[in-house]
Amino acid sequence: MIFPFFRGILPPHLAPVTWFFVVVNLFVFIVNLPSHLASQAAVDAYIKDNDFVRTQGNVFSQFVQKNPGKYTSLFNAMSRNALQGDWFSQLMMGSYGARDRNFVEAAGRFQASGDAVALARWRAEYFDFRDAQAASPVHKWGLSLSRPRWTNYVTYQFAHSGFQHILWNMAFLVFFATFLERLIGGSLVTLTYLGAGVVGAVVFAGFPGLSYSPLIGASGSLSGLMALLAVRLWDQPVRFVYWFLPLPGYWGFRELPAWLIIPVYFVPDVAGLLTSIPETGGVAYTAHLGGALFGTAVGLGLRFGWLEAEEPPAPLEESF
Amino acid sequence: MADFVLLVPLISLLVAPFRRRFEIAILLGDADAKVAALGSIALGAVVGLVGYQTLFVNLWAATPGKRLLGLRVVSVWTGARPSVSHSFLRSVTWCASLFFLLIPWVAVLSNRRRRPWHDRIADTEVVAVDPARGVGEPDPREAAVASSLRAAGVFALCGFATSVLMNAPETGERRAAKAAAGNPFLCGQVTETHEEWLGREGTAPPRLDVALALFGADAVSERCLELEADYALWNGMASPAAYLAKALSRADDAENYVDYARKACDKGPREPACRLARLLASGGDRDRAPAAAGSLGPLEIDELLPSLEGVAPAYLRVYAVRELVRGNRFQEALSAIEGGSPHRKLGYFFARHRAQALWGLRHLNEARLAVKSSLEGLSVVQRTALAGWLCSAENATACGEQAAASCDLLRRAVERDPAELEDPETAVAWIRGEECVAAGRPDMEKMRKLASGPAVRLLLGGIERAQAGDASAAKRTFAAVAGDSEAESAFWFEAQARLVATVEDEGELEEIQKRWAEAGPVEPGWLRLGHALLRRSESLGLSKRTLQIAKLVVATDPFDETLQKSVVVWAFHEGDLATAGRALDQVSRGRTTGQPPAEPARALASVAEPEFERVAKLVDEKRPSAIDPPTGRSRANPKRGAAP
Repeated sequence: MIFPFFRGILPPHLAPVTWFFVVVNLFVFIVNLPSHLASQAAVDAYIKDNDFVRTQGNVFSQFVQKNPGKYTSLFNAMSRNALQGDWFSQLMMGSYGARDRNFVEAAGRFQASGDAVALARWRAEYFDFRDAQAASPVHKWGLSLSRPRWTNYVTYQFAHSGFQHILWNMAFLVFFATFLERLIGGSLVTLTYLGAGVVGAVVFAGFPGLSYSPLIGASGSLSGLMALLAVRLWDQPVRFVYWFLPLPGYWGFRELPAWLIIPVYFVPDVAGLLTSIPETGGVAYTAHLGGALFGTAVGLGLRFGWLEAEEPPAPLEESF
Repeated sequence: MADFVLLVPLISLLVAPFRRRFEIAILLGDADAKVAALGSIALGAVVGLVGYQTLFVNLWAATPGKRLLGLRVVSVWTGARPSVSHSFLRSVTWCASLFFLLIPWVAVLSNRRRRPWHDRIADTEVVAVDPARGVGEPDPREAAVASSLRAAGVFALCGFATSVLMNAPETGERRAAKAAAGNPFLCGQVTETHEEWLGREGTAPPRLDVALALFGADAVSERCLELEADYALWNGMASPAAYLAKALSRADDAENYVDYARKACDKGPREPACRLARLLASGGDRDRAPAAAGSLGPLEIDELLPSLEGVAPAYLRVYAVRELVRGNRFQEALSAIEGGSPHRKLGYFFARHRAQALWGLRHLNEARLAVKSSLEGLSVVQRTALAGWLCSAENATACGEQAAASCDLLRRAVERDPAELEDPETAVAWIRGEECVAAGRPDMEKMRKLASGPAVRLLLGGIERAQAGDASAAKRTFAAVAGDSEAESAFWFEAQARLVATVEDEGELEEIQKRWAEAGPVEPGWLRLGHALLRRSESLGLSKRTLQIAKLVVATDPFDETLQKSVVVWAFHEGDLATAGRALDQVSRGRTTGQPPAEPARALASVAEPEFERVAKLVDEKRPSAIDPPTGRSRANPKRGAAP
């Protein structure tokens, strides 16, 4: 285990802008939590009903077979398997269908043919399921490829899908951004947070993916801040914390060059992008890399003097 | 160790395309592609790791991670950077540790010079550039952590190996299924039967009809039937039969069942699938139709029988036979069985029901012949099951010469393959058969060798104690089997039947009788326990209770002439003239069904023939005035066997 530690978590009076972002993120999360949980529970009730999901999988499979050109060869093959009777493919296609823009828009009108009893039950429940899914704050705040609104390019950066999601993102934010704020000032941190988020979203929208699943989370913005730090400091040593065993000598702090952040955090994103199957979704590697691109640009700007860092409000006690 | 920070991302980049292929293979259920992708991932990782290590160790005497941490890899002999071959050897053994879940690396914590096996094999050592930062010999705490890590690692390795071994055959099976059938997701047994049928007769019924027939004969699972039904329904082959199959595959979900069964009747109530749905709804077979199915408009078996003559689907015949044998309508069951040329896969079902019907009619020799002649075409498991059924039917009442001969089939089958004893019904039939053949003194040593499973061993232990003359110990052992709520019902019935023989107290007898009556005649071993109860209650002189039990037994086994005659006499003495009259009717009806019973072997000798003749005359005399005319279908036709 190795994690960039820098100077630990700097308190709000030393990094007010960063803490402002943390508070906004937490505020958005807490305000949305009740409706998020309610919508999640409603959707889960349908997702746990295997008959519902399998029927939806069969309907989506027929939909794919009717529009083979709109879908990848993987979806075409999976839909064939589902219709041949493979339960696993039916379940998978059922959940992918719920996240496919074309299907979500057309499912209500689509003339599926098959098990009339199962279809009647599914139709009776489908609209409730779709409404429950759309009622989630994730859909209001997140950037959905099916109906992109320009405000969502900013709002998505402040919405999270669960406790773990927000916990990790905020942990990275306080370690990286409080340190950066002392280094380059609050306005550049703000610029990078928002700018990297927007560029990440633009790159995300440029790649194919699950078209109905919205993009959410601060990770695009965070990638920007991390890339900025790595590029700006490059071979200057920064403090990492490592931990192998709970024995003295097997954990501690070590100064390592800042560029290490790139192999540690961005190479896995590239690998993830190469590994991931876009139509099955998951982590938005494209948004991470887009954010990192923006952060790199800001970092290079600082290095070459096109941008000027603010003087920190109080001098730092030690050099890097 | 620090290299992992760099290596993991680099290696993951290297194997990313293979990981992607692996994920696609999982989604498409393609086992071969999955194995190939896994192999590529492993190979890519190994090549990447070995290359990285060899290169840097040989050129720099350290990998980048080690350099950052101020460490160097040196040869123990020269103290300089290792040669290419030593660097390579070190990298290969370092990689090999990965396949042992890093257990060899733990030596860093315990080896005196902190050299794990890759250092010892390659004659190398890791040293700090700045001697002040060297860590020295491991302290005892480190050694303790090392041994616990090693233990945990070995434990995890064993678990991992076990799971790999256990999952391996599954992949093979799926591959075999794929090779055998065009569609790997459908039910293989149905495909096989359908193809054989087609090959033998040139034409075959629709796939779904085959599936329904096999399901009716208990030859395929519910899951199998559901797969077939779903396939038909979602591929433009929706038919009443498909909806019925879907209903039957989920008979435990009443609402679901009724919805689908109704859909099967959409094209009219005379549609074969709808007729079957209605037949099952009225049949009372709760494994096949929930009580709520009654709303479909029940169909009596009599209405179905005429249609079997035409081109009715095979499944209708299977279910008709099922229902007829369940309802003790053996003669009609036999003609339904004769009417069709059942497929080989249905052979066991038809053979067993034919033998059951013949046995029920007390055409015992024909039943034995039927069993023997059908054994040829059956699988080993089916052969043993059929032989087991014959042996237990023979032994349900008493053990005679014929019984011993019939049970010999089963004995030979079990001696060939003792694994057959895992089936509780077969095991119980075998124990009784061995006792019968050896006239009550079977070779216990041989039996114990063949037997497996705790219940069988307990039963054998009880028998052995009884043989040794320790009646109370035997009783305790049988009580242990009967009291085990986990035991299969076949063992429960057998243990109770043996306990009943030693019961002295009427209350105890009543308790067993109550549970026996509740279990109902569908359970195997029911008749056997019924006869045991009957024998005991008669020998205790409990005439009222004897009649009570006898009435239930003859309702299930109406062609048991000896018992029917006894019922006439007992009922007459108890003043129950209605029962006596019905039993007398059944005796004369039984005589008109064909040949007289071949072997009236019966332990109940208390009713002598002259006594029966005398009472029968009296009952007949009193009949017109004293007996009410029969009411209700089941009463009017005792052949249909009023359920207890």
